[in-house]
Amino acid sequence: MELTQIVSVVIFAVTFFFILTEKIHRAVIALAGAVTMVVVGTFMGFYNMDLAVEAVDYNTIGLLFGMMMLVALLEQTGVFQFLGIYVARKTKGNPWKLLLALGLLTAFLSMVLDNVTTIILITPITIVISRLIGISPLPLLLAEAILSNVGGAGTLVGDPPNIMIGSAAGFGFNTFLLYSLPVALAGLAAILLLFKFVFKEQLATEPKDVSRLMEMDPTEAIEDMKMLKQLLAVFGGVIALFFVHSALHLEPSVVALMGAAIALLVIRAKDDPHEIIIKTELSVLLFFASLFIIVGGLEHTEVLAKIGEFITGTAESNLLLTAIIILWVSAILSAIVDNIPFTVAMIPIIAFLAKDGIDVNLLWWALVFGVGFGGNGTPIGSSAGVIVMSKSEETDTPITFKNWMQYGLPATLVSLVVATGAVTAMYYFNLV
Amino acid sequence: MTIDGKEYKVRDLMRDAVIIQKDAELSHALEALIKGKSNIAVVVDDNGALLGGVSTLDIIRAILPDYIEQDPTAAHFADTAMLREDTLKSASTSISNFINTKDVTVHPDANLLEATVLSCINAQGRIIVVDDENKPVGLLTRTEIKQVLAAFLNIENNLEEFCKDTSC
Repeated sequence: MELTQIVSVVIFAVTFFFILTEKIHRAVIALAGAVTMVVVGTFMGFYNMDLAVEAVDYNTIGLLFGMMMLVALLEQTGVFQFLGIYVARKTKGNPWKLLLALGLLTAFLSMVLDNVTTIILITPITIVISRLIGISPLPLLLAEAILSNVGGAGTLVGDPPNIMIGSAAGFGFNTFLLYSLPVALAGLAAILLLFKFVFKEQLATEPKDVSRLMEMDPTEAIEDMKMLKQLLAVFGGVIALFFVHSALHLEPSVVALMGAAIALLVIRAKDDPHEIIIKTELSVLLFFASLFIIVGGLEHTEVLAKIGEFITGTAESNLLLTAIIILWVSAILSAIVDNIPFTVAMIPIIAFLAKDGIDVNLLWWALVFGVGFGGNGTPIGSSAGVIVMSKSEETDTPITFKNWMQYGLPATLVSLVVATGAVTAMYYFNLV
Repeated sequence: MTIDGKEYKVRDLMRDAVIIQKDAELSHALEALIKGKSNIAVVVDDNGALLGGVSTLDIIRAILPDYIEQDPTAAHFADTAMLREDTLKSASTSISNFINTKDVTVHPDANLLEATVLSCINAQGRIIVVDDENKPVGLLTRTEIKQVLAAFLNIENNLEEFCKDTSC
C-alpha cells in the first residue's frame, strides 16, 4: 500500500469512527473529515478542491433539497393529519384495520416523501386516536416505523440511499417502480401478515369507545385549504414529471428543484424563503456532500479500486452469491449504524466492478434492499425507529428495545427473505 | 439609580420568592406557586443554596407528553379528559426532572440598570436575587422594572406603595 493510500484510509477511518459512534455530530465530523482530505490531498498531490467539487453528487443533493422544500411547505397544511384521521375513521376503530390503514398510509407517504417528516406528523395523531378509543398504540407505532422504511425503499425518492444509488447507477424513477416497488410491496404484505400473527392478542382488544373517533372531522386538520390545493397541484406535477424525466432528459433533481421553485413562486413569492429553508435539514445535505468528498479522496488514491479488484473475483464467478452477501451485510450494518455512510462507501466499489465489465445491476438492487430494509433490525437502525421510540416513551405502552427485537427484528428478517427471493428471481429469470 | 432623590437597588424592589426543595413533587410545586401567587418557584438544595427555578410553563411542559407538545393539530382532536389524565399521571414527578438551572441571578446590591439589562438579554420574566452564598433572597420581575420605568417618566405609578407591599 502506498503512503497516500494509507493516509486517505486513516482520514476515512477516523471520520467514520466518529460518525458511527456518534461521539461528535455527524455533519460536524464529516465536514472536518472532508476538509482534512482536501488539505492533506492537496499537499500530498492525490486530491484537491476541484476534484472534491467533482466528487459531490449534485443530483442527490439537489433532489433531496427540492423534496425537503416541498415537504416543509406541505407539512404546514395539516394534510398528513387529515389523511391519518380520514383512514382511521374508515376502520371504525378496529385495531387490526387501524394498523393496516395507518401502517400502509405511512408506507405510501414514505414512498414519495421524507420518512422522518411522515413519522413525526403521523405518530402524535396515532397516539391521540389510540387513547381516545382505549387501545394500545404500540402495534400501530411499530408498524408505522417499520412500514415507512420498507415503503421508502420502493421508490427513487423514498429514501436517501435510493437517490444516491439511482444517481450512481443511472436508475430513473420508473426503473425503481419496475424493480424496487414490487419487492417493497411484497415486503409490506409479508410484514403485515407477520404483525397480524405476532400482535394477535393486542389486536383482539375491543376498543372502549369509538364514538370520539367517529366524531372527528378530518377537514378540521387542514390549516390552509388554498395552500394545500396549490401544493398538491405542484406535487402532482412533480410526480408526473418523475415518470417521464428520462424521456425529457431531465435529472430527478431538476424536477424536484422545479417543484420547489414553482411552489415558492405560487405560495410565498414575496416572502424570504429563509423560514422554509430552516425547516429543511441543511445539516443532512452538508453531511452527504462531505461524505462524497471523503469517499472521493479514497477513489483518487485508488483504495476503492483495490477493494473492487478484491471483490471482482467472487463477483465474476458467482454474481448471485455476491449480491446476497451485499444484501445481508448491508442490512446487518444498517441495523447497527447509519446506512448513509455505508451506501456512499459501497457505491464507488460497485461502480468499479461495472468498469471491470461485470453486470452490476443485480448488486445495485441488493444494496437498495439491504440498506432499505436492514434499518428496521434495531430501533436505532433508522431515524423513523428512533423517533417512534422517543414519541412512545410517554404512552402507557412505550416501545422498548426488547419490544423492538421481539416484533421489529422478525419483520426485518421476513422482508430480507423476500428481498433475497427477489434478487434470486432477478438473477435466474434474467430480469436485470 | 435615583428616583425622586432615593437611590434604589435591587434589594429595595425585589419581592419575596416562593422557595421549594429540590426533591419536591410537581403537585407540591404547583401548590406553592398558587399559594405564593407567583409563576416561578426558586429551587434550593439541602443547604438552601440556589439550584434553579421552576416556572408554571415548566410545569405545563412536564405534564404534556412530548408527542403532543409540538403538535397543535393532534391536540385539537384530543380532549380535556386527556389533559386531566396526564396531569394526574405527572403529579408525583420530581421537579428535579425539569428544574431550569439556567435562570439568571443578580445580587441584591446590584443597580436597577444591570437588572434591566439582564432581563432583556435573557428574555426572562424574572431574575432570581441571590446573596454572596448563592442563597436566594428574593425575586425581581418585570412588574418591578415596569414600576421603575414609569417613575422615570413621571407616569402615575405606585412605586412607594409597591415597595411597601413588597417590603422594599
